[in-house]
Amino acid sequence: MQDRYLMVALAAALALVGCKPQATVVEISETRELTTEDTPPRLKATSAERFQGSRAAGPAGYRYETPEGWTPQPASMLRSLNFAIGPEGEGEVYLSRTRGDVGSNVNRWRKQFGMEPLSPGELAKLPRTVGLGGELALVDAAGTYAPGMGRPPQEGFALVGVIGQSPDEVVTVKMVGPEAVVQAERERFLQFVRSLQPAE
Amino acid sequence: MESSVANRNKPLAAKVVEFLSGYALACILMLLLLVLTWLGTLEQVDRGLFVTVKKYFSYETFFLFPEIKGKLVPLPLPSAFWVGAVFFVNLALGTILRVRKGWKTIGVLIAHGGMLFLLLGAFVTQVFSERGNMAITEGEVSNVAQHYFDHVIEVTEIADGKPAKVHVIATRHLEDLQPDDERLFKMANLPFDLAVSGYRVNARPVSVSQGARGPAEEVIDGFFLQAREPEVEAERNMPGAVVEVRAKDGTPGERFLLSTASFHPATLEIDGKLYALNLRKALWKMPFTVALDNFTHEFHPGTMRPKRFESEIRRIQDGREEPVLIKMNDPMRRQGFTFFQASWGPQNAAPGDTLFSVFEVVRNPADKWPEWSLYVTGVGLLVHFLMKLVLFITNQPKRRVRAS
Repeated sequence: MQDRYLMVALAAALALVGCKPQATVVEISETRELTTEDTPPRLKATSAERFQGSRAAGPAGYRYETPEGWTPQPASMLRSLNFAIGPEGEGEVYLSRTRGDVGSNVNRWRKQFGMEPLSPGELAKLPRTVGLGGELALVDAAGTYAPGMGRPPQEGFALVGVIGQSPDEVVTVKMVGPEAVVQAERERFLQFVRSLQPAE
Repeated sequence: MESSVANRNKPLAAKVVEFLSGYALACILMLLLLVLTWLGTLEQVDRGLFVTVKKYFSYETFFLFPEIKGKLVPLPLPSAFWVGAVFFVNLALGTILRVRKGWKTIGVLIAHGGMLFLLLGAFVTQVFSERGNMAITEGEVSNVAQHYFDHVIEVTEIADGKPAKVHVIATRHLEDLQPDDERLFKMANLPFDLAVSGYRVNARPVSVSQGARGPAEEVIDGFFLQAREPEVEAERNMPGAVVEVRAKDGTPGERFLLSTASFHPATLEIDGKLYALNLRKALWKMPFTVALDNFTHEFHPGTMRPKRFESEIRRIQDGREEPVLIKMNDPMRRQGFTFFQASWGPQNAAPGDTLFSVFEVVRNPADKWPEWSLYVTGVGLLVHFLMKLVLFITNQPKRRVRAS
């Protein structure tokens, strides 16, 4: 019986210790040393420049129509255009400019879904669509998506993407997410690709 | 009956010590650790590793309610940290008070010592270890890692367009803020204070022309913070907050949206002096600089399974350079820091492109303690079982004589 009282007393003491009031005013004197990260910042940037990056100054060099329900996301080094799609933003669409050729990028995407690479003959037979002022290879994939970079594989995913080549670079537009989301957005994605034009 | 009476007459302190060193308590605690580990493993599938480890194993949590498949289980359980702490006391008292001392029990005593060391190592890891990552592009240098989960607000004094001094509102002052809370930070060495409100663990700054806004979301300069569900992989969360600059007398000034998703800091000008305001992952300065000379990677044929990742680096300190090769499962350990080869990028790099390498940086004073404690416990058990075996063999003739 004594043991039970002890247990109760111990639990009550721990519970009391666990209740700490929230501070509303805090004195701050902490500083940190400068590091290699502390490069001269871009000062007096507008909110659009701060939150949209290069898109703020004429969306990444492209004109396009944003489909209904797509939420623009900040661009990044690897994503000139970036959108969240789906009811919870669980899918994504992004435009990247990269090197290589159409075939290597098609097979890189296929590899992310554990699919065998296509031969040059098979690559030539890929369906085509138009956008970015030219003809683009259309890629479909579904299954377990392994994006790499330490991110875990995700089952039940799908990809619809287009890849085009100019003399200087390869441009890819990739939609990836849960299969239901990707299928629901497929038409809007193709419409978006058709609306994409290089800015004058 | 007599022992029951004797027990009742014992002083309270003796009863407490007896209870704390008892086998019954040890069994309960081990069972609790088993149940907590099992429930935590189930819960991390839905809630993510970081959140679950914090909930189940942090010293900041005393009691918790498990969730299975998103449903709350109305069963309060103590956190594993405190169960482990009580278990340490139980094991230490049990070893001191209850285990017989003598050469015959030396193995048991060593094994108990090993287990105590293991629990101590877990405590030191939980309280004192730090983790972060350092990303470096080939040909560049870095002397800083960033924490995976800790976010801070920084106010940087600017002189001649460059950062001169950085004031930090640390994670511990922000992490308990709810969207409805407001907290005033009195900046001791700056001519203004900051009031932080609307703090969200995961949010994106969205233009009012491009996103649907809720009634509680404040618009500043055409943007608002669109809240999102916390990510299962907590390191992908991007917090955001509204910051109001206040004069020392409390007069409100400019308001800014801060977000870790922003490309540039907000700029504040007071009395002709510029300050940059930033919400970012906490930075962690290293005692040395790392230069990445070359990164190479190789995958198993036809898969994305890494076969070989290697970073050729130079560790630079006090003008001296030391070349080091960091490989998968072969980290660099220097001055209490461990650099693991974690990942690389860009993922869509073509042959010949400049790559960046990402190192997981860990500082854990108890880094090797689990390994050492296993050796100690193993030696203890080996000694104990060998002694039992020797005693059994040497006592065989006596037993035979007794039997005959």
